[in-house]
Amino acid sequence: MLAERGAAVRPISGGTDVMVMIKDGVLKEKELLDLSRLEELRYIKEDGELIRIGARTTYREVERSPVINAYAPILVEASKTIGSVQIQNLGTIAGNLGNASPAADSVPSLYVLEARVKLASVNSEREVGIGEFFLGPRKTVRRPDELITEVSFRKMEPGSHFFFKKLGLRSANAISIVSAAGILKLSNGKIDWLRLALGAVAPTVIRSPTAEERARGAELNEDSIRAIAEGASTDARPITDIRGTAEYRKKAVFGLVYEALYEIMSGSGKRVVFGLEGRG
Amino acid sequence: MTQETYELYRYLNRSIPRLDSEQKVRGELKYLTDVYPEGMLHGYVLRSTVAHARILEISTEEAERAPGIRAVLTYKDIPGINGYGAIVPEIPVLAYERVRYYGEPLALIAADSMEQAKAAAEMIKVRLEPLPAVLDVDEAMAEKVKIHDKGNVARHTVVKRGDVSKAEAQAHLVLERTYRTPMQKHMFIEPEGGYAYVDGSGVVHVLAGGQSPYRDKLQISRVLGISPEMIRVKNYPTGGAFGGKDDATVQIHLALLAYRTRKPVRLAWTREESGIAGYHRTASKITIRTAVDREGRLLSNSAKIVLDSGAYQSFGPTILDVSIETINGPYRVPSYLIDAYLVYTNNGIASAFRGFGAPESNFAIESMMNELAAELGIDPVEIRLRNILRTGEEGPFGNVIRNSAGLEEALNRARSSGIWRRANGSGWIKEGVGVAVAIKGVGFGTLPDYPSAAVEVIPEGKVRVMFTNPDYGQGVITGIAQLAAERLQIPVSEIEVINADTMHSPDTGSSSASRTTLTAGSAVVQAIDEALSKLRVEAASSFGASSSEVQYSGGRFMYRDRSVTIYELARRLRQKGRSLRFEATFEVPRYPEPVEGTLEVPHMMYMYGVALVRAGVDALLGKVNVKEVEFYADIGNVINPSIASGQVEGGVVQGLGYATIEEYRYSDDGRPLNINFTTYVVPTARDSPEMYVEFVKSYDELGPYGAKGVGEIGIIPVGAALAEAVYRATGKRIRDLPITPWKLV
Amino acid sequence: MKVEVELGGTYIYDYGGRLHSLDLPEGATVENALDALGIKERIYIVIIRNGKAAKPEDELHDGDRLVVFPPIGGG
Repeated sequence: MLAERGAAVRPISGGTDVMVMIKDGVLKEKELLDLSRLEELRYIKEDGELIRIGARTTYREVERSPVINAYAPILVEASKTIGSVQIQNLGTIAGNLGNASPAADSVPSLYVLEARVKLASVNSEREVGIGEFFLGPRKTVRRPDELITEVSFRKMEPGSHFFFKKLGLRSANAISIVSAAGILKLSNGKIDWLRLALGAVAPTVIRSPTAEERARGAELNEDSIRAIAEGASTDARPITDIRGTAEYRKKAVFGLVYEALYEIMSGSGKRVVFGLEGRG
Repeated sequence: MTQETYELYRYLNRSIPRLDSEQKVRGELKYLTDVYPEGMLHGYVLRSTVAHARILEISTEEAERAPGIRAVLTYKDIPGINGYGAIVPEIPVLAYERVRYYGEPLALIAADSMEQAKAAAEMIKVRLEPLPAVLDVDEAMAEKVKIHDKGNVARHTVVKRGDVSKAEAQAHLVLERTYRTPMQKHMFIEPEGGYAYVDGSGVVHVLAGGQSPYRDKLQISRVLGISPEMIRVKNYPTGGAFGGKDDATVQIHLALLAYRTRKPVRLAWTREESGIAGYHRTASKITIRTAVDREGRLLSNSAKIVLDSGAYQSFGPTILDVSIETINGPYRVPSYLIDAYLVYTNNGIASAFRGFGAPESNFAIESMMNELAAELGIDPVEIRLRNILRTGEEGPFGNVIRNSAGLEEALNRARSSGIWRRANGSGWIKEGVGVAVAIKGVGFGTLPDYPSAAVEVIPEGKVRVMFTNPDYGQGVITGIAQLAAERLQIPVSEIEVINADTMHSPDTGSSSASRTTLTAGSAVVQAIDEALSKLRVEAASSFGASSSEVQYSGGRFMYRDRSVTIYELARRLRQKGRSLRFEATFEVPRYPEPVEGTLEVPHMMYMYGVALVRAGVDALLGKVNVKEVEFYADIGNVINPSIASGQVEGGVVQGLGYATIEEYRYSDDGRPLNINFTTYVVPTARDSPEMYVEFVKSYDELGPYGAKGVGEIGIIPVGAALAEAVYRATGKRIRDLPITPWKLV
Repeated sequence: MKVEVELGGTYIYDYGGRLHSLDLPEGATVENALDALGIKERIYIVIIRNGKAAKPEDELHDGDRLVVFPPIGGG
């Protein structure tokens, strides 16, 4: 079906975004391809150093997966903040990718996990890095005849610190004004490396090179935290819309990153502990 | 009945479950938009997609010939007056000559299917000459673009007493501040909708969500040009309203389509249509200047109140009145000068919304009281205790305060609350506690109000109670059933309520202005007294005694060792062919003369509330997190504590939404931007703070069994109390709601 | 016969004040009283005669008290 008339067809799984677009009359495609019974795309697999998540896997399944909790707990954090329990029960990570909203809440975590997205058509299969997958708001490299089939990434390093922070106008069912995901490796109070991704501050989710550069080798203290958070704010290129002004979004990026790193410094942040998630 | 009998009630002061809750929980109760009548047509409204324009042409010929189309109506097809509106019939039922807001109805379609209706709508030829959209009240008052030929000020009035400039000259401190509040959408769960049909005798039946079936009936009558007797309106059950269904929504359109096609028609707005064309709360801009002496006693108050009415007036003039009455708070204000404007813009239509006019003005006066307290170094509760009116004093509008004990008690409870000691932020989380006081009149003030109700004693063992104030979720039918049970001294299970149906009940008026307990309650009690006095005569004659010798208790009349139940008496009356239905009309007590320059100021009965809000503010993100709300209220005797608390809690959460995240907005060319639950964000259960609601002991002899009202009190003081909490936490004064994060960083 | 009329709401401003004493011929109806006051509205109007709802065609009696107002509703 996608091979024949892919441009007119929108693949749909949980429908938590697509149904809203249909209701608002903004969905371009005329036909839907229902993937919800494709059980073979519903899996979470450990594959050596890799984790593979099938396109049909829901946020709820991600949240409850012992594998994800052990090796990629940042994705558990992100999944819990998405919409409401009802949306988590239906929505899928592949759907979040396909919809390509710059405010998508699972995507920043996938950026810092340096995930790869598998795309398949009737007679080909390819994998692209998450950073190359998105072209802009609602735009991806997926060709009309392709389907997202899998997302994969390396397991997080034991002992690494991580966070996902989201700022919405309310506590449930809120679309992010800004969001930030980060993974941080500390040795003897010094930052080996930081991977930091920001949501809703640019046409796609972005990594923050300035913040990551400032973090490398720095002592984790109030001064460095401030510098890193300022770096993140510099890299943000937000717009003004109904959920917030550009100027505010830049300040909020600073706030989210500052608070997240401060929590890690003060010992209240989260850490990867293989086998179970724990506090550092 | 006096306060001393408080503990003796059998059916009052009791939290019985709502009579319709089981049906609602099971999903069995059919709302009027759940009904799809057999053989019905689908109603559809073609709406303007510009905010302001001259209409050059609306041609329907092609649409009329489209498949499945039973009617296409424009202003030309209206048999009576093309106008409605609760106060002035100036809102076109279908646009004529001009379009004044985005979403204004241009044509009505009835079709065999919704797809056919929409297809036909596309075929209607509409030519509009766009005019500049006026979206700001100051711009409207400059009168460069006229929205109405008569000008952009719908109403201007000045209300004053004493010499303000003299008071200001003698004052220790005079503060002037400008406060703003936004448009707010009701966001009820059931959007506007219902169905209509014409019966064999030509009566037009309109069954739709609403708040005022008799007013709906008169509005329909005026537009259809037929007698009100030929129209029936039913509003029960309605899935939420909050004022947004007080003026007509779908009712007139439904009646027009059914009257024209002679077929059942269903018309239900989508959520987005409700977002575009439904009513909203007036935005306000209030500049207030208040003079005080060294001890913080008010010497004078002046205010310029500007309310954004949108394209037409609806309840505008009375909203303006309530804002005028509220701007002096519950305080002793020796002199004041209130300059009030109701202004047209192209921002939809502003109409009733819980407390209308009161949350707007309350934010100004209560924020001012908090600013004065801070300037003078006086405790914010103390400054209010120094200024509130006490029993027997004359209020600012000439009204004598009959009973202020409740407010003083509520303030004392607020002062000694532990909440003040619980503000303890750390790091970037700053915490503060804020207070504000609310006063709200119950009912229509000096407007004449004669609610009627009926009761019918059914020999099979029920008493049917009939009144028309719709129950749209407030629990009205339960509260009134409890009052009826108390009066009759029979269990609530023997009371059967028929609600909001002009076919069964005389006119009790609307569910609005927190008036239903007072109006339906008093009228029902009076109708029951009528019934009991007639039945007493019947009982006495059967006993061979005089009426005065007969005792009544627990549903039976007694004389010596003999007794007879009201049901047995009803059976005998029925055999004699006598009516078992008793009607009564209650005259709502009021001051005879409105204050000069107003329609309805002052009221005779007031509710009071004191809100304490504890909030945390993330100093880096500007995000406000409301942790805790305490609310002390004087609502008179409490009929059903659980339902009454629910009303206060619901009002508080709606007030927190208003104060933090809700703001209905238009684009620069007048297109509404946030029209559904995705874009117009309201608080969820997870955003609700810890809440404590306490009703201070109070009894108002003007109300049924000392009860007043409750529906609107919760929402009113929340904005000012939260703004003060934020000030205490951060040192920042926010004078324009909502307190969004970007105003704090 | 004498009939006392009290106007309410906007009618106070539209029809010359709140209280009016009318001297009407025997057999006059509510409608005649409305005419005497210059009130043309017959549908969107509430008429209370001696505390109970009344209609334009109802006959009046000496000493009747009318309260007449538009069914506006306030807050």
